[in-house]
Amino acid sequence: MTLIDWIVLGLTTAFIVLWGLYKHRGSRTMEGYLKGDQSLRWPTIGLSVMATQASAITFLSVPGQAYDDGLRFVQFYLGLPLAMIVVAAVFVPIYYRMKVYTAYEYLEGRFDVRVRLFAALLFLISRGLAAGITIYAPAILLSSILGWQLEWTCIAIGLVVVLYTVVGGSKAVSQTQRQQMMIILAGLVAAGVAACNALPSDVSLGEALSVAGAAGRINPVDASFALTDRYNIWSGIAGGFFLSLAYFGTDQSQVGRYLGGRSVTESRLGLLFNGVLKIPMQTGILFLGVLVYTVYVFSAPPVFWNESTLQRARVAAPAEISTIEANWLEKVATREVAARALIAAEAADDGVAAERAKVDLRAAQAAMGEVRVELKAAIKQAVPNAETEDRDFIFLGFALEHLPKGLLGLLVAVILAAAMSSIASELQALGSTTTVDFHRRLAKTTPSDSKTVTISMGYTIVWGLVAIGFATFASLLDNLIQAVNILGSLFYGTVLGIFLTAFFLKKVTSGPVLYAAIIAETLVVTLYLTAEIGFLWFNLIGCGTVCGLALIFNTFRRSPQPA
Amino acid sequence: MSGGGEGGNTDTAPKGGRAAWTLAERGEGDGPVKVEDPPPFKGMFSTWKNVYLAVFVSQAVFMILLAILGEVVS
Repeated sequence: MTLIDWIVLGLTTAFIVLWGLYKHRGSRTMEGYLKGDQSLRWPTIGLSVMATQASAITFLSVPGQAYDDGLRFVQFYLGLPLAMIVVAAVFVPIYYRMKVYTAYEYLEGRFDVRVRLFAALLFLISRGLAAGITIYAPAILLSSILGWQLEWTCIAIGLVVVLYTVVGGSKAVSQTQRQQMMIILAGLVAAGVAACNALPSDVSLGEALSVAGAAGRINPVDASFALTDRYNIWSGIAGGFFLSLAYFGTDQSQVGRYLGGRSVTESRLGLLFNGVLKIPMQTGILFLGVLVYTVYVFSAPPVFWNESTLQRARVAAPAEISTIEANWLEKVATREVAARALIAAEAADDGVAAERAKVDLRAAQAAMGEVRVELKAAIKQAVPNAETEDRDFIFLGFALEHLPKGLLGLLVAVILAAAMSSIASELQALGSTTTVDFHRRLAKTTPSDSKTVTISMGYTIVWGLVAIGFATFASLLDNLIQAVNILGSLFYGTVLGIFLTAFFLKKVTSGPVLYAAIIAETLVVTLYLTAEIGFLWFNLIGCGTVCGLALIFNTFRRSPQPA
Repeated sequence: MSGGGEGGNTDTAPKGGRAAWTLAERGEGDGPVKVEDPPPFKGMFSTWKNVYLAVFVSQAVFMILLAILGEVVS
């Protein structure tokens, strides 16, 4: 990075942190620390909800996903707007009426303490692990730019965010997320402009998109149905709806954001704001990945995006890697020829030539895929402990190569801002859930408000350390955006099933729902380990199993003895 | 009555005061909590139902446009 990049990065990050510290002053009551004094307006809630979900993973991993697999990942979000409507209409008024600090508090009122603790425990496990992945993503970025060791970068980022979250509390997290989201959106637009400028001068944006379409990268809707397919319109609407409903309705990292609203109306509008903007925003980020793809159709992309791993393989097996790289460049050149032939054919309105060019383009693309498979096998053989998944490095590689002075610093600031906003929300939710649902509920004497704030800070630190510990193992995972969603899908269905049973199955009591939830969670984990099912369906399976079994168990439960 | 194990709370829709330990502990639960505020819009968006419908339709239209774009360029 240049001096200008460092200045932009330093000023942007300092602004966010100082703003958070300024806003946190006075939040020393339990109400203020955990719910931000319920003073937030809808724009702050909406941006805070968006910023919590849009972590650094979103900006590192999603463009790489689109580069490799096209726009079809957007279908993952199809169920989100509908889920936002249901959360706004059903969940929000109930939480407000109950005046809860955490979503799980409600379950004790409706069922009993066992159900509350079980749901809170599932949240702590899933969110605690996910927080580790959320720390790992920006660590990839910083370690690449600064040349730091990845494990130490995870620790450094984790400690900074823990400090910021502990000092700030809920209000600081929500207030700074508004500024962070503004910076994130500005950075995305700037990166898009930079990608357009990186195209060759003789290729227009329309022509580049035409090439991307021919290569199967502009594929936002896939109507074919297959349980094993991760992203199609059916898994997006059905599985994505249940995943979003569980995430926004029952995950404390999100519930905590809108519980800080001034009124039900403010919270509802904040959620609907997210429902309107989320799909367009994700489409924009995916389009960025497609633009990066088109840039590299006309300039040779690296055969493997994780440069440090590739370098280790070059040292261990120089001849083999060199041969593969030469073969790669040959295939890249063939693809560019086919792409230019397609552009020329379309300009000349020659349909036959255009179809032939498309076939050539796809064949060259497939051949490049085969070379990458060969390279990954060679890397695995040369460096047995090396990670061969490199999609999360694609956007970073583009940024380092193509972004102008200052913009790279802004992009790093964007990714750091995104990381800070989601990790802060997650840690704050983990701390408050442990405090309110476990410590405060199970303690023999109820701690005072000020002591509760101190206890919550302590638990936030503990969860921060757990997340940092898990982050150091995150390199073993597949693509990060998928990993974090798979993890959520393993637990969300069951938790959502408990809440939907509470809301809508009015005769079901605590025992049946608890046993149903335990069986559902066991079933989902077993299916994940043994069956080939797209992960989004686990949300539907978990939720349906809880509701169905709870109804059945409730029918057969022993009637209470008359007094 | 709340809590107390299976069958301890067989009631249905949650009402104010249900989580007695929490509300009592916080000194809350007295008086109604206004939760059904109307949306702050006029005309056709003055009911939540229409606001929800507008959100849903806007997203459906966006996805249809995206699908058309996908068909056109591939």
